[in-house]
Amino acid sequence: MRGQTLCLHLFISVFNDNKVENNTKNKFTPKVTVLLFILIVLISVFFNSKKILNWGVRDGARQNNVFQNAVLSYAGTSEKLKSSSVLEVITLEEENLSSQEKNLPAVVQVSQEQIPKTAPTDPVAELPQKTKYKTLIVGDSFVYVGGGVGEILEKALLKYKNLEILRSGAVSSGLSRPDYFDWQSKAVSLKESFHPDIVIVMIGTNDAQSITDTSGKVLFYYKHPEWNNAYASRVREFIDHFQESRIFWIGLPVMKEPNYSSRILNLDSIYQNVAENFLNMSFISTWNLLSDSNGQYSGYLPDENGKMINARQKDGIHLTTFGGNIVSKEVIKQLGATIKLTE
Amino acid sequence: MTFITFEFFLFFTLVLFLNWYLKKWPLAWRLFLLASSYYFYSFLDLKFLLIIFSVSIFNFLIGLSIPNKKTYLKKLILTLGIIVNLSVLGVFKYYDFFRVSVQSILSHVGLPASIPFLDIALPIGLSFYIFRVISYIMDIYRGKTVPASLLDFLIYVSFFPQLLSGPIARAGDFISQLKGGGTKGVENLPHSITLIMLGLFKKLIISSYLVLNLTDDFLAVSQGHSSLGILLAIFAYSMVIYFDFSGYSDMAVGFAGLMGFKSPINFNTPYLATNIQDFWRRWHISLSDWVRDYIYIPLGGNRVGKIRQYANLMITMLLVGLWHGPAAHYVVWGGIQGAGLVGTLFFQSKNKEPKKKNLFLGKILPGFLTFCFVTFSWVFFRSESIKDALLVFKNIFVSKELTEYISPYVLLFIALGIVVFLLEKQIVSFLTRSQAKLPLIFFFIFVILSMTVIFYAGPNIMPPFIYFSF
Repeated sequence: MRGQTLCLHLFISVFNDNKVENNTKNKFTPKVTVLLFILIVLISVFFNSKKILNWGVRDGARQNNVFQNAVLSYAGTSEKLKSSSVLEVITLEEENLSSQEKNLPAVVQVSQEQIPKTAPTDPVAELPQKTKYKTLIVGDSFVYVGGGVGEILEKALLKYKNLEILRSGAVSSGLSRPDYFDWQSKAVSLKESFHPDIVIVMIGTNDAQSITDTSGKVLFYYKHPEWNNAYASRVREFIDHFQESRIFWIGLPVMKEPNYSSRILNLDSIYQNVAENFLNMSFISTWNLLSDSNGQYSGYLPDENGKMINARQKDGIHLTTFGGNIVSKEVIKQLGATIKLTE
Repeated sequence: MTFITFEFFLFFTLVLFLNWYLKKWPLAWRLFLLASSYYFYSFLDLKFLLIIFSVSIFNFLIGLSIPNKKTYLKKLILTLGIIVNLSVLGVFKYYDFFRVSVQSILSHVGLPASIPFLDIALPIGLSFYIFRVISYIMDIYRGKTVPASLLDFLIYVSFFPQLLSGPIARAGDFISQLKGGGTKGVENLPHSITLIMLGLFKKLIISSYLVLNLTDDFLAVSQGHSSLGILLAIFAYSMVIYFDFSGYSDMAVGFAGLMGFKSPINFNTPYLATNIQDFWRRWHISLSDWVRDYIYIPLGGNRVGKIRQYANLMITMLLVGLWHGPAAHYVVWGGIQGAGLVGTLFFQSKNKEPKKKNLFLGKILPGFLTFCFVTFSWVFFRSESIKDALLVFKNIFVSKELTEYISPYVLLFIALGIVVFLLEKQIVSFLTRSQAKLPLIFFFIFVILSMTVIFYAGPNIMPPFIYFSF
């Protein structure tokens, strides 16, 4: 205790404030205030480094500034210090790469070849005739919260008498971070309880980050050369749970923030590649549906009469009802090519 | 860069140091305040900086032109100032609403016209600083304040702790604090620190948890949920909006306080109000005061007879609704508040000498009824349309289930929220006094530990603030 007090005295003396302890009325001086904040930043960031790196991945590209880079670097170093014996992958490396990524031009040019394409429905995988098709809609916030795709699609599908719908979503979830939400276990329980004939998936918004195991141990940071393979195997594992179902995987749309958008483009290409190797899986691209004529982000899109209507929410990620309807119509079109939908 | 991020804490630490260091040189200090506020705002978008600067310069010139003129000329300049300010707000906030409305009206009468579409983002904080500059030019017109120096005025408009979501400080109150390098000492460090900790707790713990685990799901898609589940979510949303916005305001007041600035308080335990008038004296106080002084009173206020007074109240509250966004559900919400205020006044005018009532009839029952009124009206505020809001109410009655499984944690957080909003004043006062008494080392340990734990318990995704949208 004495030692701690002495340390604090020494620390405070750096600021040349000797009256602090003697005069209780004036003990809270500006110097003490500044010292307090320095310690808050140093200690809180050290203990919350994992959360900070998490927050940085989602919001990082939106805020390119020296303060954020400094906090991320310090959080990365803290994470390294705390778990150097456990982690093989240094989170700091990811952050260094992230800062390189931030130097990308404001608008990422997407060539026509890069834009994900909807994979045609495979006739081999046509479903047997049934009076009622059990349809499962799963995914992240796109599926879970109102105004995204899930709610609108569910409402639209409910009018078809030969479909029985179950929607299950989890905010902030994905396939990268099973320590936060384990979609593989959830898939098993959904399959066993619902036995879906059709599975509609829209996931990945939160996945362009480090891949962890269920305990939270980082396996591959996003820019690691093995990340794409690891993520693709997560997608395959998810699909494998529904071997007897027909799967429609809805691709993610172009995003407002260019760097985030380029990561999403990468995820879409992974889904598309996986879909090519599964007979029972279709990939539905939403990139062209929700972008302007150049494949770039546009908050507003024309309706049937050419009137520009707000399609995206303010975060530049999620969809408005209008945007959700665009995706929903496309999914129903693809679904209708596989089974006969009866109203 | 919002208050709940660590980069803000780092930025603030540096600003705090230079703020106190530079006070010896008032001009350098004021220049620094402006530079730090502009730097803070530039994180959002450089274009926003150009807008705030142009709005500031325009209003500074208007402010300079008003004094020592003939009355009609003063009025003319003021009117020009208000029109331009409201036009700026209109272009950014309401342009698309008007574009779509006018287009649809014209096409109905057989005059199809295409009004150009402009993809313009609403600069965060615009609604708040436009209110600040209007109050400045109106106060000069009324002789309540004198034109400020350009530098002081630029700082007043852009002061970063109050920039994004208020509180809406008045020019006279704020600018007087810039004189001679401002205060020389931190007046009440424990109080400011308590407000920051409380704000973080409200936002990161209670509000975020309830949004992610209850209100977003239950209120966005109320179909399929039980009657009591929906009612609980409506009740929880009342907490969410209070903790979100008052949490932000607490932090704004706290951070400004650490820099030596006094801010107007924005919330005064509003859910303990015993009628709607009382509620609006306690909720978003700086906005309520603003609309009272610059809309309600110019309309005639309560000096124009009962009927006109009621009409003035309705107009004022409808405008408050519209200020939140160009959507019918906000207007309905404003209308409900207006009706509540008119009802309160009408009831008070019929009972001029209220009998002495006991605690239950005098406080608890009216307090509960006021809370229910406010809580149910938030459904219109939260929904995306009137139809969606009505659907929430409908589903309370048509739901097949009465109850459903609700996580015990959700109930725990709601209970915690109730404790905070019932005992907020006592909690703030207790924490402030206790911290002031603690030896410095224990004070440091307490604050650092509390902040670390609050951040640790916070959500895994960065939660946005509701009032940044307005």
